[in-house]
Amino acid sequence: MYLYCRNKSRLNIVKINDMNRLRNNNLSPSRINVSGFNFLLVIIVTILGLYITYPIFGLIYLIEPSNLLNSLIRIELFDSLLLSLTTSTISTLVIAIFGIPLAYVLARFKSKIKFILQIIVIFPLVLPPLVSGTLLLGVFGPYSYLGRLIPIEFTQSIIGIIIAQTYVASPFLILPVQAAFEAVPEKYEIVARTLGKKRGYIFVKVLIPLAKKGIIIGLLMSWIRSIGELGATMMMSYNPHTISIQIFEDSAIGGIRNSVAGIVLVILIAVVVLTIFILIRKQHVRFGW
Amino acid sequence: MLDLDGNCIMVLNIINVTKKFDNFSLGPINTIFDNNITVVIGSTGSGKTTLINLIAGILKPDTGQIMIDTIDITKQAIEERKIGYVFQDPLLFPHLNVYDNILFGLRKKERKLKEKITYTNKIIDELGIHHLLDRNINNLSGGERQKISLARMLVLNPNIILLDEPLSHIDPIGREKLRRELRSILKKQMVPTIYVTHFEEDVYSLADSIIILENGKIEQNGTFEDLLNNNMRSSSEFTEKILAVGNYLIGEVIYSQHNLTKVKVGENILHAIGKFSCKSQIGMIVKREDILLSREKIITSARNIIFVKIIDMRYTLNMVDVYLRSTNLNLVARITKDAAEELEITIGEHIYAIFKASAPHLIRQENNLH
Repeated sequence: MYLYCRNKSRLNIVKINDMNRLRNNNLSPSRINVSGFNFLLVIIVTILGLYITYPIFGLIYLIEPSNLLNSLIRIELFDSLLLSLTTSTISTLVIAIFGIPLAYVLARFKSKIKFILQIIVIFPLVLPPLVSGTLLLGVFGPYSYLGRLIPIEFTQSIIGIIIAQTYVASPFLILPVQAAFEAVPEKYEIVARTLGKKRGYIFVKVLIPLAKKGIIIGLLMSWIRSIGELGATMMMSYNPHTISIQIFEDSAIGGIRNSVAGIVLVILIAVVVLTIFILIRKQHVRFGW
Repeated sequence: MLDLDGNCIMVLNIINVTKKFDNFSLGPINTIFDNNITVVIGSTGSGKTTLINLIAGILKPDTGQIMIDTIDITKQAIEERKIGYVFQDPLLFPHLNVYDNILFGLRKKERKLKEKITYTNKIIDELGIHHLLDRNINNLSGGERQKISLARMLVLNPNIILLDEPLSHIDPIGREKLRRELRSILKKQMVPTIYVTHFEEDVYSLADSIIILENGKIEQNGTFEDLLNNNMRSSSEFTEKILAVGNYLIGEVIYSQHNLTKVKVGENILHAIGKFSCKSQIGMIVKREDILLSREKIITSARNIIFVKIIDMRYTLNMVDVYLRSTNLNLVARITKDAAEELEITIGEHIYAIFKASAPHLIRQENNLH
């Protein structure tokens, strides 16, 4: 790897020097700087790559095949996985219904209110999830104003889980969708209007198809964030257990080895999501301008 | 409104329209567009795109009214105005194929109507895009894309057609080709058509009338002949540039074979290079620098020798523009001051104007349009 880089950087030096000679430029880059920079990049990338992947490979040492099989067929684990998959799907749908139009507002409208709205949207992202959960408990808890007013159990219920997930995962959908809408030139909307179409029709038939890639990424990100949600969900609804709470509890009771089964399941879901990400990246959506 | 032949015509009336931006203001604009092609030409920042955006409803005027016939459309939304707008960029929807792009503006019910299908097919045939219908829009040339964008707008039968430099993103060969076809396509619609451009060629090839915009104001307004014959010569650089060709002649093709065309202009028969269909009407440009003046009828290889009367002479620094008239034919020749002095020409005299068959640039052709 090192040798390859050295060779490559030498080639670069030759090219740059030739160009400089042609341009009669005195600012020739020093040999040490160029090769040193490439070397530094290789080291940084390697360290980060290993840092991220090592714990996943480290899982192999924790797995005991006989125990894993028993753990995997545990009814609590199965229930919690099913609960997580259902609630995160519902949460993502709720976020999509409100978040996609909101992302459009953020992408198209230019006013001071937009700036405030943008900060509000990012807020759950910068807030620690545990804090978000506590704030939610404050408004939805059994002794809160809403809790007393509406005869629905917001906490310790599936509804509580959905409220927590929706709150925490919303920026993960809104921000990529906003970026996708911003990438669609406004002229497409204007040309569609000159063709006699109303704005609602254009939103559904032009904007959403053109921003499709960003919308799918947003849906996936908010879905996977909802599955991984722990802090806010813990505050709102520790029971019934989602997969994250189940993993937390398993490891609190029986140590890391006890939670391996849940971790394996979550990693499998992550692999599926990653595969979809890669497929979307490969399929270039080419715009016609 | 009805025209002289009793056909129904649309009239677009712009009354006292103004629009102010931070560093630019347009108007007040007062003009009427009838069912002809008006080419609006002006330099960048002269306000030509602003003008058609106001007509389309993309911008709202600060003051004034925009009327189609007797209906005030100033406050109508873009989608209610029944306006066909072709942008510089074809802006075809990338997620739809060519045919779906063309049908985009039609409602679901309309797509099944027999008359609509026939009309759509007619437009497709006129534009010669039948072979493209199933294609993905990414595999089309610039000219083809602009044709699809034209078709998409034409199938809706717009009341007014607006075109904002539609040829500027097309390669030079494609541009020339589409420019030749565009006039007859647009003329058939019989609605007010406003064509914004900064190419002088568009004026010669397309315009029934011309508006020259400068700094947000109408500098000139009229037909090409009006502008040429206008004694109030403008100091505007753009007007000068457009009129620089000097001679714009319209005539009927009476013979065209082996790349040689004979055109009857007034009482004169002019020779030109090119192949056109007989009995069609064509427009020609002859640069004023290409015309020679001679006191005697000389024997020469030049095919066009016309006996003319000098009606005016205008002096610039070192040159003289000599205005000439024959029966139903006006010409202007630009010669040097020295040449004018040596020839000793004066206003009212008769003289020969001579130019080669290759001098006229044939720019447009119309076959039985009316």
